[in-house]
Amino acid sequence: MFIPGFIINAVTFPGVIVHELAHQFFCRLYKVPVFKVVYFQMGNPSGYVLHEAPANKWQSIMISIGPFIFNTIVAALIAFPASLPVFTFGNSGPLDWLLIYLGVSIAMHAFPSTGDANVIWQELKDKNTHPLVKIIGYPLVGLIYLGAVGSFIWLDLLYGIAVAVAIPNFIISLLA
Amino acid sequence: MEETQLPGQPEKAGCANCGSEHIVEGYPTVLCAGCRELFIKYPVPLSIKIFAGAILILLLSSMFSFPKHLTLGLHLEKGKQYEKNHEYKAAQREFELVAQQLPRNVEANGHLLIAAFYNQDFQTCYKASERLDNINIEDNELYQKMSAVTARAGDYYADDSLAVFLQTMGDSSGHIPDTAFRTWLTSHPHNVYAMLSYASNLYDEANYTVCDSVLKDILKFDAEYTPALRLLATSQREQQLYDEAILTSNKILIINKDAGYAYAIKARIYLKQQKDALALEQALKAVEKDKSDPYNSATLALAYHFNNQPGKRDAVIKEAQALNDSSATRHIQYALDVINKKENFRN
Repeated sequence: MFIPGFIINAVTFPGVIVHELAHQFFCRLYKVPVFKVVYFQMGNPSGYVLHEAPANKWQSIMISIGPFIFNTIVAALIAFPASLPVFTFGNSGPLDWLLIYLGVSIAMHAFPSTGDANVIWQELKDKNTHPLVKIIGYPLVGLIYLGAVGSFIWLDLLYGIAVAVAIPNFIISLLA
Repeated sequence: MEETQLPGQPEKAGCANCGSEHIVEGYPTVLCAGCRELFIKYPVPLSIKIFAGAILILLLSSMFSFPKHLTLGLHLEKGKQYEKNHEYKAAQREFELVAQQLPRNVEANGHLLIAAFYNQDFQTCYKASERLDNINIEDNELYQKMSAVTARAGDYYADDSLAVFLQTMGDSSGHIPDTAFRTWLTSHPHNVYAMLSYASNLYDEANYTVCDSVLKDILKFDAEYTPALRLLATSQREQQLYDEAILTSNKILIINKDAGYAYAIKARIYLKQQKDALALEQALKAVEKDKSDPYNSATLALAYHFNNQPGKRDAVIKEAQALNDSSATRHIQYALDVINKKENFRN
C-alpha cells in the first residue's frame, strides 16, 4: 500500500524530531558548529540540520549515521516498559500503546536519509579521504540507499516494530 | 530529514557572525572563538524540550508498572527455557507465578497446562485450561502443543466404561481377575489406562513377563507414557534386570528431567544392587526435585538406612508421617517394614 511520505512523516513526526536531535547531538559531541535546525516541517525534507563540514571524515560519517544509533536506543528505551504488557501479557493500557507508538515512530526514522547519504558520498569522493574510511563508507552509502528503497516496502516500519518488540524480548531472554 | 554541511566560505576579514577579527583558524567557517562556541552549543528550542519532557514523563509513568512486568516477563521466559530443557517442575513453578498475577494470560496458562501435564498434575492442567475458556489462542504452535497434551491426558484416567468395569469386577481389595481384564481389553484394545491397570494387576501378582509385555504394548501407542515406563522400570528391577531398569528410568528423565520419582526408582535399583552410596545420591536428587512425593521420601529413608545413617533416616520418616496422607502412610509403612525386616527388600 502506497502512502505519500509526507503523511507518514506527519504521523510519525516524533521520529523526525528525534532524528534531527540525533544529528545535533553528534555535532555537539564532535564540537561542530550548527547553524540551523529544522526539527519538523510539512515538506521535503521534513527536517534538517545545517552544520559546518567537520575536518575529520569519521566525524562526518558519524554525524550522518548518528540517528541510526540514537533513534534506535531511544526507541528501544521508550518501547521497553510498554512492550511486555502490549505484546506478551495483553494487559496494556492507553499509556502503553502511546509509548509503543512513540517507540515505533522513533525507530522508523532511525535510517539515515538519502540526504545524509549524499553528505557521506561527498566526503568519500574527496581524494584526501583515508582508504579505510572509503572501504567502510561506500557500502554504508549503498545500505542507506537500500534502506531508502526498502521504505517502499515498509522496511522502516518493520525496523520500527522490530526495535519495539524484538529488542525488549531479546533483553528479557538475556536476563532470564 | 537530513543534515547539511555548510561549504567552506571564502576568506573574510572577520567572524562571519559578529565581525570580530579574532577568528579561530583551521576551520572552513570563519568564526571567532565565542561565536564558534555559540554555534557548537546551538540551543534546543523550548518546544522541543517540552516535547522531550513529555516523553520523559510518559516513560516515568510507565516505570511504575515496569518492575512488575519485568519480573513477570523474566518468570515467563525462564519457564519457557525450563520447558524447552524438559525441566517441567521448574517450568511449572515459573508459569504458576505468572498465571497467579495474570490469570487470563494465554502464554502463561498455555505453557502451564503443558508443564503440569508432564508433571502429571492434572488438577493444575485442568485449571489452566479452564482459565483459557473462550479465549482465542493465536499462537498456533502453542495451541497445537496444548491440544496434543490435552488429547493425551485422557489416557491418564479411567473413562466411564472402564470405571464401571473396575467397580463391578473388583473384589474388596480392588483386585480384578486377569481373565476379566483380558476379555474387557478385547473389546477396548486401545484403552491405555485399562492396559496400565491390567499391567499393575500382573505386577502385583509377580507375573512380570506378561506385565512387561503389556507395558511394552502401551509404549507402542505412546512412547512417552511415563506411568508405563515407571512400572516397567520397577518390574525390571524386581526381575534383577538392573541395566534395563536404569535405562527405562533414564527414559523417564529424558521426557521430564524433573521427574523426582525416576531418581527414586534409580535409587531403589542401586539399593537392590547394594550400591548404597550411589543410591543415596539419587534419593537425595529425587527429594530435591519433588519433596511432596512420599515415594521419594520413603526412598530417601531407605537410602539413609542402608547407608547407616539412622538419625537422618528417622528424621525423614518423621517428616513424611507428619503429612498424615494415605499415600505417604503407605510408602512410609513400606520403608518401615523394610527397615524392621518385615519386608524382604534385598536378599
